[in-house]
Amino acid sequence: MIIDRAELAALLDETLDLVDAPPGCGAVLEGSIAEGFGNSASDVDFLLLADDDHDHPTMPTIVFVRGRRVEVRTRSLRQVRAQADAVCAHVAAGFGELPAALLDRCQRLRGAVVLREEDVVRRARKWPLSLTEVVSGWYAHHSRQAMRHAVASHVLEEEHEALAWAGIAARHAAKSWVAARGETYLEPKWLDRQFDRLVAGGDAEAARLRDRLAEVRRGPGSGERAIASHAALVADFGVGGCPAAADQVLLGLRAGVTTWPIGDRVHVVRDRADVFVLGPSAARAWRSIAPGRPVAEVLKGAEEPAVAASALAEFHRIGLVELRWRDGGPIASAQPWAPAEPITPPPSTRIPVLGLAGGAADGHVSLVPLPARRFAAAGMAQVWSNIMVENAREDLSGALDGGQREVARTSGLRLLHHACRALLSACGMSPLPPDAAIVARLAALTAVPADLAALAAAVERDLRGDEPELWPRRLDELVDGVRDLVRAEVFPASFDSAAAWEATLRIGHDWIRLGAYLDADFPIEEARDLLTSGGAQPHRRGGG
Amino acid sequence: MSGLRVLVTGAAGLVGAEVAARLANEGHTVLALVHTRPEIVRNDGRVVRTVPVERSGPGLVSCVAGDVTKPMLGLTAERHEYLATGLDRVVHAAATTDFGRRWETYESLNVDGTRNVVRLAAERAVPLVHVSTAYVCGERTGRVLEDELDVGQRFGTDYERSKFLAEQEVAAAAATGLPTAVVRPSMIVGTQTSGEIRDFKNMYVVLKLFTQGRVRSVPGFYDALLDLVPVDYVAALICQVVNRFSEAEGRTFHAVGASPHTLLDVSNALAEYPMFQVPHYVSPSSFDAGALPPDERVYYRRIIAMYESFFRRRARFDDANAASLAPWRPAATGVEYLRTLFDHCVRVGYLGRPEPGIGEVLRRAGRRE
Repeated sequence: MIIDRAELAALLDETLDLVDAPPGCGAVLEGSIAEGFGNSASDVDFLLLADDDHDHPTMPTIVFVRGRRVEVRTRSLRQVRAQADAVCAHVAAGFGELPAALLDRCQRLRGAVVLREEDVVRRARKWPLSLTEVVSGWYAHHSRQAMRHAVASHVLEEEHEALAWAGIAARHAAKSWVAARGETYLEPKWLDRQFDRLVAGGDAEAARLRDRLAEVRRGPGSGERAIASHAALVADFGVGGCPAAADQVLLGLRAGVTTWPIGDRVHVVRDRADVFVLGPSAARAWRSIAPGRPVAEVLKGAEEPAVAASALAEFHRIGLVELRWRDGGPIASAQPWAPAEPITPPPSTRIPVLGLAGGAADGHVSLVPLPARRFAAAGMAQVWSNIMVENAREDLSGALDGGQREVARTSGLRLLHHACRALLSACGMSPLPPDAAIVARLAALTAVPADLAALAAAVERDLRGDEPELWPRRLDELVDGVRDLVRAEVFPASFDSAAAWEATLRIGHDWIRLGAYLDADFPIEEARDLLTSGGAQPHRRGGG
Repeated sequence: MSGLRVLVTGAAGLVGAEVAARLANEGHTVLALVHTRPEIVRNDGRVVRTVPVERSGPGLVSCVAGDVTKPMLGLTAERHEYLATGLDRVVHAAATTDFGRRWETYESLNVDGTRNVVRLAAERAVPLVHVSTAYVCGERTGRVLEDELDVGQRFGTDYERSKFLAEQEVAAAAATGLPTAVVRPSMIVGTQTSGEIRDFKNMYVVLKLFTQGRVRSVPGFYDALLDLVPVDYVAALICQVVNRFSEAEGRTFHAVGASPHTLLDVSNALAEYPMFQVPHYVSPSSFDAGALPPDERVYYRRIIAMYESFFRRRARFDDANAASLAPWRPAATGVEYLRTLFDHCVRVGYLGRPEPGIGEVLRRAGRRE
């Protein structure tokens, strides 16, 4: 130890002068210094063991004694027994769910140097398991997972990631191996010192494997050979079940992920919360996903294997698809101290946010910057508004033909409001403001071009006037402006032909299907009316 | 109770085979009437070991070739006599469950066939367990009780009408003193826990067309109800009716799922599979098959049209009688159960594999010519 016992005793005495310690508590030094490692920068970690049932706070008290930073934790015997029981339960269920922090606490107590009340410490350390087996098994599990991840990344041609995972796998395997020989301290950074200690004790195998680990680290930088050499070393460390075999990596479905095409654009909803829109190549890769199929086989059949590979890798990273090891369950993130959740990319910054066919992708996958339900609501409102624009235009024409000025004015206002609603929906606004305020809202939004907002305001003024012959032209100008803005980015169809109108109705069905899944708050009853009538416009004249 | 001598008609069929095997496993002597297929294959694909009729006995299944459409089930007088002698129960599971057959086929197999089986049972007053369908209710909406049959309903398919008429044959025999019980399964699908199913028929065919994108829109409602019942539950309930016939006599049992599935459930479950296409349900009043693209129109007219009424039905089957007798009750519901069924289809390659469509096949055939 880098601190002798006399110094330790003095450190403890002075520390206890500064903190409240339960009477009669046991005291140990734990952590790197107790394990025989540490350096001048290492903290001194004292654990006080209270012979009671209290719940002592998890956070340590930090004091500075004799120029050292000292952390003091207090646990009751009940707390440490509960930790030990929790580890036992996790071990019985496999190592996958055993948290690093929990195992670390148990290991540190058992590797600690006793300073006070040996009997209390002895009782605190009671445990039915073998620490070496538990730590070794736990690291073996994480090594296996990391190596599988490396193989999967290699299959997906993500070589940089593959090598990183392979390196983690090798180090975890080494930690498993040294743990099985008594070096159970979990902290990864002391691996070399743990090997040194085994070598110093006369373990020739430890020397050989340490050298191989170093050799593999220096070996071929990437590609199949690098993965193979890491996998071989992992196996030599006694971790099985993760050979460098591409056909072991299978596709799997991830719970809570669903597919919703809108028009020809594929949207994927994650956990009913996030909407991802896929680019055309990514959509093709997405449609090739079938549970249980080897990734390599899917890529072999892809039109553009490299593109499909990078799309699948992205799907995996953001948790849209699962990669599984044949007969071995999901390939999960294997960094015990890091979160295992899939990542979420930053949301798309495109404006408008959505068109008739939903979002638009930059690259393989883009996250729509709206919660899923709001996305569905805005999309439905946009389809509905566009349809109502057409409907109001027919009303306006009919009223003008019949010389019904006030009917025409009402129809014109309705057209204006629906054009504004279509525009605001495309910008992602949902719910929409009431008609009375909608024209004014346009000018307040940076997403709406100023000239369009000004045009809407001018049209509103026109509609108050007495020149009805101007109204259709002015309204068409506005509608064209709205549709140009939206179409410029994402609109798939116009309303210029019967075929386009049919396509719009089909897209309406797509939105309804998604909205029904998300139980979205949008005008479903009105939409149902639309679909019941097959898109027929009640005021439209025959032949149109 | 054990050691009954039971005749099972339609024993090569999905339900008949499973019932025959289970009854034999319970120690009964099973005489399995089969038409063309002399092999009894259980739902999980295991072939049931059979012995010649002369060596029939408790715990064994014997196949008898026959034809329910014919008088005396198409048997010789001697074989008919042998078969009928000492019978304790008849389970009548023979029927065509296919949709889209000619009416004559339904009439012959399902109506006349039932009449012939009823006659055999009536001659010796052998208790008859008749396997019907919950859809004898036709296109009724709302709660359908087990003791209801003829309420003036309209039928969506000739299959339903034929089964309705078959039940009337059974009811008429019961009125003259034949002990009968009727089991009415809804749409029979895979087992509750694994989704396994021996034959991919009926709704499975529809599913295939949906998921392949052959048919992209159908007239129907998202809140229409499909009642899916696990095949293992249907077989278990029929066996229970056989075993506890004294309690079952004179009653009808809806063999139905834990709760019906909406078409929204189906849509949502299909969406969990990236490789599946999911159909739209379009209001029937505005649906126009003629407006479908040519390939889709062919599939629609040849197959989907037969099932069309199922996409707008909203029947809920009461199953109080079944609940009081069944050895266990289905518990799998909603999207979770659909996932179990779809997963099985994917696992065995029935769904999720691209196949050439009709248009493609015709185009290829055209090229060869």
